[in-house]
Formats: sequence, C-alpha cells, structure tokens
Amino acid sequence: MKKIVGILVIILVVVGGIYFFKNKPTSTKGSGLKVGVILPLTGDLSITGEKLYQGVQLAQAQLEKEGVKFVVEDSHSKPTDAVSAASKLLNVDKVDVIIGTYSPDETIAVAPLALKENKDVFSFSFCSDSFKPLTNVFCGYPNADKQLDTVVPMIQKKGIKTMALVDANSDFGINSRDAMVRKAPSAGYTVVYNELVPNANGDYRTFATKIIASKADSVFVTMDNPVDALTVVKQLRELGFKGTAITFVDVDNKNLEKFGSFGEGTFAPGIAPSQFSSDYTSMYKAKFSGTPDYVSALGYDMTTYVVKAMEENPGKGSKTAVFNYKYKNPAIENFSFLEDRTVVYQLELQMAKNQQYVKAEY
Amino acid sequence: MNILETKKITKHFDGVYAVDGLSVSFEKGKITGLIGPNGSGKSTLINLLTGVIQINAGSVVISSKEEVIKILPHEVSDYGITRTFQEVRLFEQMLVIDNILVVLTKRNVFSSLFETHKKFHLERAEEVLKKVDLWKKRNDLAKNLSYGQRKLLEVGRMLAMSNGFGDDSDIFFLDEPFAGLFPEMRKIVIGVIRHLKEQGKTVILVEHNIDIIRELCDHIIVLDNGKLLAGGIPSDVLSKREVMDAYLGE
Amino acid sequence: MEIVPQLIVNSIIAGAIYSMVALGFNLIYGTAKFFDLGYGVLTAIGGYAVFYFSSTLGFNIYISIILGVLVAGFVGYLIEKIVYKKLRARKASSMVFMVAALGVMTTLQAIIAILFSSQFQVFPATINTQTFQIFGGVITGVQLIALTLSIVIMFVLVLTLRFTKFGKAIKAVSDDAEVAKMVGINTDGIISKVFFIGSCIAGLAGVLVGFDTGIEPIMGFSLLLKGVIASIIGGVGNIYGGVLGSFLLGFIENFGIWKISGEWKDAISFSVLIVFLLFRPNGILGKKQ
Repeated sequence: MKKIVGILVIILVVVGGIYFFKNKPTSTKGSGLKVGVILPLTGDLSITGEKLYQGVQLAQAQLEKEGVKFVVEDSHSKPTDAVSAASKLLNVDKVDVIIGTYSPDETIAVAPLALKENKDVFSFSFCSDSFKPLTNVFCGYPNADKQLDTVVPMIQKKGIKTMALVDANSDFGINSRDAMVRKAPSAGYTVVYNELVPNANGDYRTFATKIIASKADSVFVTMDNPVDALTVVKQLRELGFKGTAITFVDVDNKNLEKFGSFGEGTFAPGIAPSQFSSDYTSMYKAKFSGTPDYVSALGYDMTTYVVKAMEENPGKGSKTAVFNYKYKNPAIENFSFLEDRTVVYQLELQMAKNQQYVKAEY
Repeated sequence: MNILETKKITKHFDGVYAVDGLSVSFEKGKITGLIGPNGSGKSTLINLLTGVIQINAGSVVISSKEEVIKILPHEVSDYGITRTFQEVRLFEQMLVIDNILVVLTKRNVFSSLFETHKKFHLERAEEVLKKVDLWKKRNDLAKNLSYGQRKLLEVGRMLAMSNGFGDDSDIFFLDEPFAGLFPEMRKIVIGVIRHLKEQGKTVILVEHNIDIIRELCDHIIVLDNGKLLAGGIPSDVLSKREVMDAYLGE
Repeated sequence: MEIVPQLIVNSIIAGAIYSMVALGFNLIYGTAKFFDLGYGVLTAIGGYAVFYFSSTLGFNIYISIILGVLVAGFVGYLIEKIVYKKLRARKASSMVFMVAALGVMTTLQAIIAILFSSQFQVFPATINTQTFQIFGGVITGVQLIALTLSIVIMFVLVLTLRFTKFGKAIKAVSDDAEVAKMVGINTDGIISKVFFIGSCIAGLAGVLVGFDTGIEPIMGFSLLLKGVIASIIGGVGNIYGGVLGSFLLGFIENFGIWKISGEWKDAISFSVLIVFLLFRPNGILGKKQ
C-alpha cells in the first residue's frame, strides 16, 4: 500500500512540475512592458469600477497587439484589498507601472508600496490635496476646484445666496467641502450650514431637518457613495425642502432610477462631456454596443496615454515618459497630464431630468 | 410487578464510587422509601434514574420492557418519570397558576400559536392547587412564595403531571419533600402521596424522617456506601441491627 | 417646519425600526439565551426576498411583502435547526454560539451580494407616497406604517406571552430550560418557533427600511447593532425594555446631533452603550445588580 502511495506522489510531483514549468511566464516579446491594473470591480464602487474597466479593456485590446502584457486585479472597493493587489502586482508579477486605483483612500494606501519599487501609480481618483506629497501618484480627474468651477455660473444665474454643505467625513468629502467654501465669496453665496456626516448611514433625516431650519437656498451634498447623496436629497424633499440641490457624485442613470421624482432637477457638477472622439465611439460601440460614457473614456485615455508614452520612451520610467509624450487623438477632448501630476480636460455641469443625466439647463 | 429495576449499576466521580454495582427494584403502585446515611448514594441513584447524570456501568429495566444503559434528560418524561428536587426548581418569573398550567398542556403546543388554556385545564389546575393549599396564591409570582410554599408548588406541579391530558407520568421520585416543612404542610404532602398511590402510581421517596417512612411506605430500600444494605417491609427493615448501626454510626 | 417637532418625529421613526429589531432579538435571547449576532442579516433577507419577488419575478408588491417576510422567518428557522440546535445539544459555550452566529451573518451576507450584487436597490413599487403632519413634523406614509407595525407587534407579543399556551411555554423555557424539558415541554420545538417568529419580524423591519430608503446586503449589521444597543439600554430579554430602549436611542441619536456635529452620531450611540454597560448592564427595565 505504502509503495502505491509513494509512486502516486512521485507521479503527481512530476506532472505538477511539468505543468508549472510549461506555464511559467516567458519573457515578454515586443515592447516587453507589463502593466498592472487595480480597479474596484466588486463592492460599493463597482458601478464606476466596471465602467473604467470597459475603457481599460478597449485600450488593452489595442496595446496587447504591440506586445504589452496586462495583469488586472480587483480591489473590492477596499483600501486593504487594493494593497494586497498592489503587493502582488509589484512583487509577484513585477509590473512596470500601476494603472488604477479609483478611490483616494485606495490610492493613498497603494502609493508607498509602488514607491518602494520605484514605480508610479496612475490613479483614476480625483486629484485630492493629499496626493500632493505622493510624488509617484498621478490622478485621473481634475481636482475638486476645477470640477466645481462648472457649478458657479448656475449659482450666479439663479441668484443663490445661501448654501448648506453636507459632506462625508472622508478625504473626498472634506476636499469638496473646502472647495465650496473657497468659492463662496466669488460666486456670491454664504455658507449657512456646514456639517460632516458619517458615511453610509441611511438615516439623514436629522441633518435634513437642520438644513431646512437654516433656511438655505441650496444644498451641496458629497458622499462617497452616490446613492447616499441622493438619499440625502430625497429625505430633504420629503421634509419639504424646495431649494436647489447639488450632488457632487459620479453620474449614473441607474442611480437616478432608484429615486424617481426625488432626484429630479438635481445638479451634478464636474462631469466630463458626453461626446467623445469618433474613433473611441466606434471602438466602444463595436465591443459593448451602445454609446460610451466618460468613465470608460477615462479608463481608455489614461491607459493608452501612459502605455504609449512608455513605449515611446523606453527605459525612462513612466513619469518622465508621460511628461515627454504628446497624446494624440484622445477619447476625451483635450485630455492631458499637467506638470503637477493632475489632469485636465473638458468638463460640464449636468442635471437629472426624467431620470437621466443631461447637460444642465438653467 | 416491578416497574423499575436496576441491574448492577455503577457511578463513580473521580474514582469515588457513589453507587457501586447496585441492583434494586421498585414495585409498581407501591410507595418505596429510599433511606440511608448521608453520602450513601440515594441522591445519586435518583439522579441516575432521572437522567441528570449518566450511568457508568450496568443497566436499568423500565416497565419490564426496555433495558437501557443510559437515560437522557428529554427521554425521562417519555418513560413516565417525574421528580422533585431537593433545591426546589420552579419557573420563578411565572405565576403560581402558570407553573401548573404550563405542565398540563406540555404536549400540545404545536397545535396552535394563539390558543389559550381551556376551561378543563383551568379546572384541573384549580383542583391541584387546592390540594396543596396554594389556590389563594395562584396569582403570585413563584419567586415570592415562602420556602414551604415553594415545596408545595413543586409537589403540586408533580401532581398535575400524574393525571394530565395526554401523557401521564407513572413513576414519581420525591427527593426529601418534607425537609423544612411545617407539620400542617407535611400533612398536605402526605395526602398527595397517598392520592398518587390511590391512582395506581408508583412513588419513590427519599427521606430522613423515620416516622414518615414508617407511616407511608410499603417497602424500604436502605443504601450504605453506594451498596444495598437492606430491603423489605418497614417493620422488618427498621428493626435490623445493621440499619440502626449505619444510621447511628454517622 | 419647526425644528424640535421634526426632531421628535425623526426620533420616533428611528425608534420604530430599532424596536422591531430589538423585539425579535429579545424574544430569541430570552428564549434560547444567546446573543444572536446573526439576527441582523435576516432583515436583508426579508428585503431582498421582496426585491426578488417584486422586481425579478414581477409579483404584486403586497404579495411580495408577505412572501418576503415568510422567507425571512423560514431562513431563521432553518438556521436554528441546522446550526444552533446542534450546538445546544453539544452544550457549546456562549462564545462558540456567538462565533457561529457571526459566521451565519457573514455567509448569508456574502450569498446575497453574490446573487444580487452589493449595490443599493429599491423596490419597483411603493406602498404609500403620502406625507403627513404629526406633532408639527413631517412623516411619510411608509414611516407611519413602520411606526404602527412596531407598536402592534409589541402588543401582540406581550399578549401572546401572557395569555396563550404557547406564550407560557416560551416563558417556561426562558425561565429554566432544563426544568421545562423535565416537565415534558418540547424545548427545541418552542425555540424553533421562536426563531421563526423573530426572523419574520426582522424580515419585516428590513422590508420597511427597503420602502423608506432601500436595501443593501450589509444593511443588517448596523440595524442589529442599534437593536442590541437598544436592548441593552432597555433591558436585555425584556420585551418592553427593547422597545423603550429603541425609542430612547432614537431620541438620543437625533437630539444628540442637533447641537453637536453630525460626525459624532455613531459615537453618541456607542458612548451611551458603554455608560450602560458600566453602570447599569441590566438596562432600565432589567433587575438591579
């Protein structure tokens, strides 16, 4: 009996060994570049994560033809899991650059690991002030100030004089709040209520009560999850709030469907436009059918920009490559990286109308 | 006819034999007294036969039909066995009358969620409580009764199980039911025990009071050091030298 | 809209939902004598069952509600039969029970997330769209229904415990399960039924939260936490205590953040919990130490 077991073990080891060595990653041909991608494909942020991934996949399809290898990991919308993913990409897969993550918290968690390996992180996150000292981090959205610039004309045209600020007690929420406070003098409104609220709570009624008591003309809401922001607006409306509602969130019509008439007329600032390059539009239609949105376009542009820059500037590292590269034919008009490692591109103010996000009319 | 019989049952705790190869039998419909000095194994025997602790060796024959080597707590009522405890165990947070009612409908709780107790349940509960002289206290919480009243309530509960609706109990173990009772209360318990015998039930009584034993019991079993010392009718047993020595020697 | 009356209404609304969770939790704790940390997930099960029936299968919303509540009750009943009953038979310690309950919660939450995604969902139809004014504050129809139901459930439970055969058997099992067994009460049967009823109540709470805001797989955890805090404040195992604690907690949370910054909302509930655990662990209606 022992003899049979022994033989079986040896056979297993040999078979396993052959299989392992056969599938050992061979050295890359072509450009030899290896790109690590971290995205929230599951969890709270997965709606955006999946969209970003669509764009990344479109870029991947083109770039793999040029010999670039991609390794994609899921952060599960959690900084801790983003760190595990980064660790694997950097130490096991030995990628040359990390594209991703999405939330500021995930990015801040991953940056030090990448720095240790002398690699850069091209995050899809908006450009938080906390990224400034992280010299290997690039961010994928214009910062809060630039995004919120799009709402100022509406505030001035509507004659809004008082505003209530309700923001999540997180990096994103605090940054946004500070930006709105800074804009108050030039835009002509006074902040009459300013509160940071705990995340993902569901019961915002008392905050809504305080806002109404402050007699604000308008309310500006930022939550990490768009659904929470819309819930705040819904509960405000239920309690009789008639003023202007501004939610600083990613736009997704699926979210609006969940709130019916309560979301109607809510403004969403800092949204990239809904028109993209014709090349990108046809590429997207071919693979996913339907029209592309800006989140996927962002995924595409970021990936393509970085990889092509590195292909054209081999051995120089991603940061230098990106600064030396002129990105042609972006999906999003005027997409480019600035010297301070933030991006800039065309933005607009949108609003909810008939449960769809459209360009704002006021 | 023997309703309960032990065959060389043994129970030890950390090497000390509380019950040692004990073979005794209890006759159906009779009142059997179980006596012996402290530590002779009386309580252990009762605990073994009512599933509180498990037998290490030997077996028990129930109703001349089943021979078992262990008795589990939830099987006890299936065998028709009921007991009282030395430290009285009642449903403290419930009313006196509820302590009785909850026993009367034990088997029927699956029938409906919202059924209340029927008239005949309440009549039976009244009958039982009057027998143990607790009818006036029926709406008091069990935890507010005096020591003697608590013992009476436990006896009453036991009585309620003797002729309930559905499954009856046939074998009643009473563990020192008279301890700490005033004479009037003792009379009540004696009355209950006699009533049970009239109904054809079997009563096994652990008691120190020799007078009560003499008065009530048809049969006596004497234990000493976990073994059977003597057994027989009271007049015989209580005149035996060994029995007196065992008691006086303690 | 005046601020204080609205805060009162907000407190009552919160208290109503918490009290449903506390009622079921206390019923189970009183009878089976364990801190069922897995209880919260049954709110999500109720909510998602309604979502499945009404949204995926297209049933009428009212039928979906009834089915959803029953599904939650049934799942709770199954968990008791498959997991907790076996642990009881083995005389497992309370630590083991709590870990098992946590395991149940995590597993079920994960299953819900796999089947329905972790995204926030709402029901395809609602049961009421009106708003009303009470005490000078605004309350929606759904919230009013939740309030009414929580009070009705409390009364039904109290009356059942006091007057029915089943209720007395529950009290007996709760009082002394060993003696109950010895007097022939089917303790396991009683506990199963209690789990079914308690889980139905949890499911109903989840459904009402679903109509008021929406559902997500992790919704059960914070609801359970509030229910537990409310129970401890009011007196664990005590039906009235759970309800009292719930409304108190609602008031403390909402009035607490009236003057203090909103970031402190959760900290306030937990501070109150700690104060009670330190100085009056049996709660307001519990026995004095």
